[in-house]
Amino acid sequence: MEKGEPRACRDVIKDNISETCTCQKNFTVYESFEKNVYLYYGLDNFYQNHRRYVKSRDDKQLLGKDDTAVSNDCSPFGTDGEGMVYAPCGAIANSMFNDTLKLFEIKLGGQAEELNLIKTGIAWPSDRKIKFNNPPGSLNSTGAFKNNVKPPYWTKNVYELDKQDPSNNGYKNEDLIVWMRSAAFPTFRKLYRKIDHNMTGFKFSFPKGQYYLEVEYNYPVDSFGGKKRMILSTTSFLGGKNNFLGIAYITVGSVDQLNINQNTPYSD
Amino acid sequence: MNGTSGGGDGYGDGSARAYGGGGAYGDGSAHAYSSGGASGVGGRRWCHGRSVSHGGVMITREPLTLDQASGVGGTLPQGVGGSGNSVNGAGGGMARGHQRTFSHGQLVEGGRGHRRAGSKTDFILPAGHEQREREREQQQKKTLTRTTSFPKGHSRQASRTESIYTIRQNKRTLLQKLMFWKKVPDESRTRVVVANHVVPPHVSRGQHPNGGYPDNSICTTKYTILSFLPKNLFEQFHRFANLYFLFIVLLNFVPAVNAFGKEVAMLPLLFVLGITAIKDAFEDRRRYLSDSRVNNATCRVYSRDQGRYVKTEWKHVRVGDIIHLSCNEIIPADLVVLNSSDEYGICFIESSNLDGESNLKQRQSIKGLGMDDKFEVSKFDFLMEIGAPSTKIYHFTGTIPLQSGERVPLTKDNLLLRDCALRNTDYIEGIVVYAGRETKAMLNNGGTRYKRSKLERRMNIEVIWCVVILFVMCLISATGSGLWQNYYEGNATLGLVPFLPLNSLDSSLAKIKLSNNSVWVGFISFWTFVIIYQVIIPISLYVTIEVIKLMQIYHIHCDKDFKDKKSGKTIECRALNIPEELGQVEYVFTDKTGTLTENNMVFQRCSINGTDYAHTPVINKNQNSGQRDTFTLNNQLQEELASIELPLIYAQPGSRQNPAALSPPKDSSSERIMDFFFTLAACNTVVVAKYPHRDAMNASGMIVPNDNANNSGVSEVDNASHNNSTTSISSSFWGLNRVKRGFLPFSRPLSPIASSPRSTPPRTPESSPRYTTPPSLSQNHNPSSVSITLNPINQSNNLENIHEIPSDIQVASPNTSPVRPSLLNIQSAQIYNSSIMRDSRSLTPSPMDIQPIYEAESPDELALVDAAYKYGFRLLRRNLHNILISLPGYGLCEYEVLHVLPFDSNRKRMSIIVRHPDTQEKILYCKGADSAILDNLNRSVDDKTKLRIFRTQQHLNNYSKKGLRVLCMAKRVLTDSEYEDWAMKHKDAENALSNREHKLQDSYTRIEKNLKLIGATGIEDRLQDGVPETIQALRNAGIVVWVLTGDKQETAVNIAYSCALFVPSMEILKLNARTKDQAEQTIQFYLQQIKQQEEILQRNEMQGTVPDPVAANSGMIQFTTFQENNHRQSEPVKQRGLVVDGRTLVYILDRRANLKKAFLTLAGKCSAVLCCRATPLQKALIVRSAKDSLKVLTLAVGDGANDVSMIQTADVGVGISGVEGRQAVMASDYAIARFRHLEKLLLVHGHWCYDRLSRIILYFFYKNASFVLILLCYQLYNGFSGSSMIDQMYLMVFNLFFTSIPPIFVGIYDQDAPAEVLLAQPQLYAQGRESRLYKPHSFWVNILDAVYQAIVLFFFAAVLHEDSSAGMYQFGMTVTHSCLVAQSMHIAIETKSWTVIHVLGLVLSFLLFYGFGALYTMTCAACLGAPSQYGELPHALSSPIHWLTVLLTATLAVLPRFVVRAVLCSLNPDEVTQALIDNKGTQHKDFMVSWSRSTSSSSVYRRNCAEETGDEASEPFSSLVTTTTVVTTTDEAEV
Repeated sequence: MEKGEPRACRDVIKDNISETCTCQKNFTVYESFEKNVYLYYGLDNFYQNHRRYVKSRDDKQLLGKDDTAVSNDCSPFGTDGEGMVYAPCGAIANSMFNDTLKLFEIKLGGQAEELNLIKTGIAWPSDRKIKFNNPPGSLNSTGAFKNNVKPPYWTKNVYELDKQDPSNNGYKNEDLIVWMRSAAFPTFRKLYRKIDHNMTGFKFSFPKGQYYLEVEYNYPVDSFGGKKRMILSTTSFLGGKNNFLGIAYITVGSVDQLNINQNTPYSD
Repeated sequence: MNGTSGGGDGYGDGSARAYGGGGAYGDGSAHAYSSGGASGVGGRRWCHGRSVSHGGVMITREPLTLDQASGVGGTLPQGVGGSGNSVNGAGGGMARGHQRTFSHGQLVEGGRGHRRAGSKTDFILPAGHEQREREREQQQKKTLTRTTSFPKGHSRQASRTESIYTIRQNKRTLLQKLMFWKKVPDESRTRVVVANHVVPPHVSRGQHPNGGYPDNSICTTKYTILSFLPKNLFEQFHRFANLYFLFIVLLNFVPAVNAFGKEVAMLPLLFVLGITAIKDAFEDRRRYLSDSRVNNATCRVYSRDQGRYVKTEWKHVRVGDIIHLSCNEIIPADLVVLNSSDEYGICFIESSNLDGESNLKQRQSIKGLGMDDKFEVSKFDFLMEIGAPSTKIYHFTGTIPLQSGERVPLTKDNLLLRDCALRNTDYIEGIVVYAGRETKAMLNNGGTRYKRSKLERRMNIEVIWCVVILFVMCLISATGSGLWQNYYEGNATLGLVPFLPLNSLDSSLAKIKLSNNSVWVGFISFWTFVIIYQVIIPISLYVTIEVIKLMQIYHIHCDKDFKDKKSGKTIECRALNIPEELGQVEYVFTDKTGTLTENNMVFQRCSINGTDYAHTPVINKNQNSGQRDTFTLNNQLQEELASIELPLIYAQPGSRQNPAALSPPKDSSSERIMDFFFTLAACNTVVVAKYPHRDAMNASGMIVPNDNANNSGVSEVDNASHNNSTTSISSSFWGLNRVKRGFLPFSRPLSPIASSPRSTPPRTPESSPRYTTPPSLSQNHNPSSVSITLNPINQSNNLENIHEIPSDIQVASPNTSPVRPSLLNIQSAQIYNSSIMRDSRSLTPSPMDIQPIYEAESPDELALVDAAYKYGFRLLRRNLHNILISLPGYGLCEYEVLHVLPFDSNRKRMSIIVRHPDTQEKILYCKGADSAILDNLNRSVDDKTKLRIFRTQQHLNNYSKKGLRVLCMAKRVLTDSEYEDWAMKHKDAENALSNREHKLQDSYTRIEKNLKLIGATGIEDRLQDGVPETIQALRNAGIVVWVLTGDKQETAVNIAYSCALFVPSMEILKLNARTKDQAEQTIQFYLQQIKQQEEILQRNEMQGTVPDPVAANSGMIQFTTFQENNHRQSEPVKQRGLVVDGRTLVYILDRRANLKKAFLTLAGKCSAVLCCRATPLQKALIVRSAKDSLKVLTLAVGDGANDVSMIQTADVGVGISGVEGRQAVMASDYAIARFRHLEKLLLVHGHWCYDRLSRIILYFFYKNASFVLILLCYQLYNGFSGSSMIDQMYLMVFNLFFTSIPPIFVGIYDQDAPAEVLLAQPQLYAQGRESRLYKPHSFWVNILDAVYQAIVLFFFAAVLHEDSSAGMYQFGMTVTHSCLVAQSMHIAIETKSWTVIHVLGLVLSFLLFYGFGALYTMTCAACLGAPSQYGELPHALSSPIHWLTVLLTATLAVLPRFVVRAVLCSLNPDEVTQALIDNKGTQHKDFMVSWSRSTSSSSVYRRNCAEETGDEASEPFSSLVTTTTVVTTTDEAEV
């Protein structure tokens, strides 16, 4: 990331999709959140519910059952030119959100401390247990995925999604699982991380204060006029989706500025 | 034969002529008609209806002549008919007594060299029928071109049935066109049939001369196990809806279009096809079972090996088999009669199974084979050449070539048709010529007609609207899709839009471009949307409606109120698809006799010598026995009779030499009494069977030789008398052809027929008379009944004992009013009854069980003969030339019958000319309508006679006013010269070639004048129970009731009053025109008058004054018509009744007269219409006119064959399963036992069915539309891509399963009001009659509601889920759930009565939803090729926001409907609701509310507005319904 340059990350990756661009955005939480705060990423204008998109997947493959042939629904992201099956196949998987979000707390002294984010437990338990399974064998190019190649837009293989945690790797990767569940509306959010409340100062809440978000910008949204957002939210009786205490909107992308709003929006 | 020139004309006025031809039958009639038709004058003249119920007699001299006169038959030798005719001998035109040919009017056309003698329903054929028929014939001719010898015109003597079947066969001909490879039955080709017993055994089927013909097994099933699937599918795809869904399934296979997984998309179609297939299979199984029942029926077939007749199953009967049939057996195949028990080879068949005509048709065995004297089966070795099988029932040709080179022709008169019954013949033997599917009955076996109800037609229109809506929705979505795509077009082509995957990586750029081209995308997505939105066409609607109707019918069937306790008959629903039509009837057309009345004629009054004798009817309470009502004898008349005969007979016991002994003094009153009863007994067409027809074959199949088969009846009498009597009379004494006067000494029973074994007289002359009280006295409990069986008393003791008798009688039966003893051998009522009943024949009669069985076509005649019998004038035998009558106190007496002048509706009388056995006087006895007799009386009579006539007339008027059917009796003694003169002219008339009918009529009229009145009778046809109440209720329900009857006007009017069709306050308009102009004038006058009245009324309404009674009444007198009620002005809105007679109907229904419209307008102004003297044809034509011109829904009720055409014409045909046989029932949609059942059928069940169905149909449209509209809304959020947030599986099953159970239950069980309320307030029927529930806008109201609900359901949910992490299917699950809740609440609002079943339906549908959801989303991680739904439902249900959304949106969605309903209910309730509120008010008082009905065990009605008005708590609920309350209140608590 070339600091000081006025170029926004979206322009950077527009020129070169493989270039890594990192940006950060400060924001202030004016009121502390109650316990169990979640970090979401949001996409606007992304039609994950488009008919051709929705069905472009193969549930059998994700069950880990068959790795040599995939459903026609995946086409054109079923097999590559050599007949190798994309793992996972289909347009949904191919277009998986691949930005990396990191939260930093700006301490009083000005130094930043990265917040501990938990990346498991964000998908539905049923999905994790039943719907997504790795093929038998070790999670590498010679084992479970020996017949597969990574989807064209991916930078890494499916068995490289979480190298630290094998139970979160391959098809069982929760980021993948979350992404694979098509959103109902073109403006949607998806659970990205859980705030680790074991951190000091986060025992009981998400304290108010200065934070910044660091984004490893990989995901282009310009071509379809989309927007990316980061949302911090807490859960409530109603399931933590709508009735939240505060939301941080971070709009990244087309409007290249970090815009943090602490609001207590609509409650019903 | 005439040329074609007259053809068009002949067809043009087909209807008028059709019934005008009622009497036309026999040779020469064709000529008469053609000339009449050509002149146009003669045709009119014969336009007279002939009513079936009056038992006319047709002279059928030569049954063959019809064929002879026509093409094919004409080629036959003229002598053929002669064999049948020769018997008649000098009698010439003598009728065969009891034969009646075409009862229902005929249509004889001279045109086109093609003649049809026809049919009462000809005119009900669709307008284009004649055209079609002509085309069909042309087609046939084309196929027959090679048979150049085939005459151009061929005879078609179409019966009613044939014309009906002709309609059916139009389809077949079309099919035949397609199946050109199938052999078209070629009529010109003949086939050879030989008797099977002459063929040596062990001949292989291929070499057997009859081997090529099918056997007699029939198969009416549509399918076999193998062919079921393909054939059934083929048939189902004839339905448009199924084809549509098939198209959608196929569309799903197009890769670019496919919206759903292919397997899932097939689901609804498979479901519907499956249900229908199951239903069809079930029906076919029923057909199969009935087939096998028929196939396994047995008959006796001659076996060569055993030399006797052997019981054989029908299915094993083969062409060439010789079959023996006994009386009343059903004919198993088409037979040619070889032998009959009758001397002349005559036998009778009743073809009501085939054509609905109940009259007996005469058939004849083949003559001229040299076996006429004694037929021996084994010797029948002739070859028969017969025509190929055809559908023409009355067409059959064939010959038997003899060795001598002669050819014996076979005609239709030799042919017995399958499914007819053998009647009035002891037995026949016949050879099978057509078997199984080649029989005429099977060839004519058409399917049942499919009636489409008004509601269903309406529904079909809405389905088309649904298609339009679908199209619009698809168009909008496709446009949106294109526009949306346009926004991304450039980027998408480059593959930069992640959610628009390129179609194929390796395809060319052009292809990629195309796949992302907005127009192309729009086009493709149009088809995708067709798939997605398909649900809006309710695929399950048709099958659901069918199920609902089936169940409705079932419950109607189960209603115990429809069971007639007397006959044990209950309702029979034959049409399964029009129950709701019962709730929409606007016009009811009803037959009178047998429908409104019992059709149980009871002799009630008679007037002899100006004295009125009344008889008290004895109503047979026990109808189960099938016995008729009877009457008690008039004491006075009995006395008078007794007083006559005693001196007459006993003065000169040996007075046979003195003719004067039998003839009382001229013109004495006693003579008239004698004559009166003689006329009753003799002047009729009653067939007498002395004993039940008995087969001469014994159990082992051997014919017991019967030397005197023809006289068997009489010889039985004699044999019986031998047993009792010492007087020996040789059996030859009763020889048939001898004119002998039978005289039995009084010391023996008057006739053995009259005595039951119990009353066998003691043979000791000295024994004092014993008076026994017959069982009938105690059974009938009628004190006034003089049912004492007096033993025949020895002559010598009679006079001495006379004075002792009264006291004895009084002792014997204290309840009996004192009677002078008479020596009449009066039979007990019981014996009498059983002797009368046709059905009471026992199969194995004992020799003593020989009471005469009277068979008459008209119950009137039966009643008269019965009456005469009771008074001792017993008709014992009747054949062509003789009548054997037992006269009281005199004995048997045989009269020679010289002529029978049959009844026709023109003369309205019949006569019989007999030769008196003693005096040799030729006497004409005449019986007929009063007008027909009184006008022809001898006017030059003394004052005393005039007074007598006057008094008789008074009595007649009296009878008429009482609603009795009146008949007059008259006689005329003919001098020899008079008779000879007339007989000669008559013979000329009979033989006339042209205008024969006319000449015969003239001839009849010539002799039937200068009559001497001898008396009159009044026969009561009692009204059925509850008829006035029912008619009143129907009229209160706003139904216009028309009574169509064959009765005379006065009788009909009186019956109309007594059955409440007319009420005294009514203004009666009468149409009795004698010319067309007169008819027109009268109608116009009435119309004008009514208009005036209405204007006055309007003016007065405006002024608020009472109308002026005089103004409208002026100018009446100049017309022949008159008004009966002059005080009609008393009511501000008066009702009118219209009376039309048959003659006027002729003019009205004549298409050329153009009077129909005016008449119907007039009729429309009247609340009741009575048509008298209407023929079956007219009846049906009236119904058709009303149906077509007034565009009303008609219902016709009738009981007899004469009502069949009317029943079939009407939208709803109701048959009364009464005494007149099953024809009406077979033709009807619903058969009820009694007329009064109509009230509940219409007012309750009809009301319910209409109410339920209309609500359910609308609900279905709403349901499907709202579901689909939700999908449309979603397209706004997914770029119109055709994506659906609801899983495809749910999409498919939602309408099929989740939301269809409650409406089905509502459709079957819901009641908007309890039966009691509906019956008590007939005006509530207006709801269905006026189609208030399903108006044209109702559909749109419901669609609008669906739009609103869809918007609420979707957008509220969308707002609640926007910018959330909710997945698409999770959101879809929420919406589906809320949709289900909303639709369940909707049906809950629509439900008008809550029962356990309703609750069950709702619970079931929710259970299904959750159950299916659990099964589908928790077991199937990746199946059906669709995106997996794993875990969606549990996840959704565990989320609070899901429940919040569901409850909020669903409640909001149904709120408007609920509010509108509630407000309407409380502020402006409709009639039914109002009635319920009122009813509820009364129920509060007695608090106990519990009504049961057939449909469910118990139910408590609950109004929707009950909750609203807050008086719910006071409403009593049964324990069952308490649960219901809980459910509804929870539903409504959400509001």
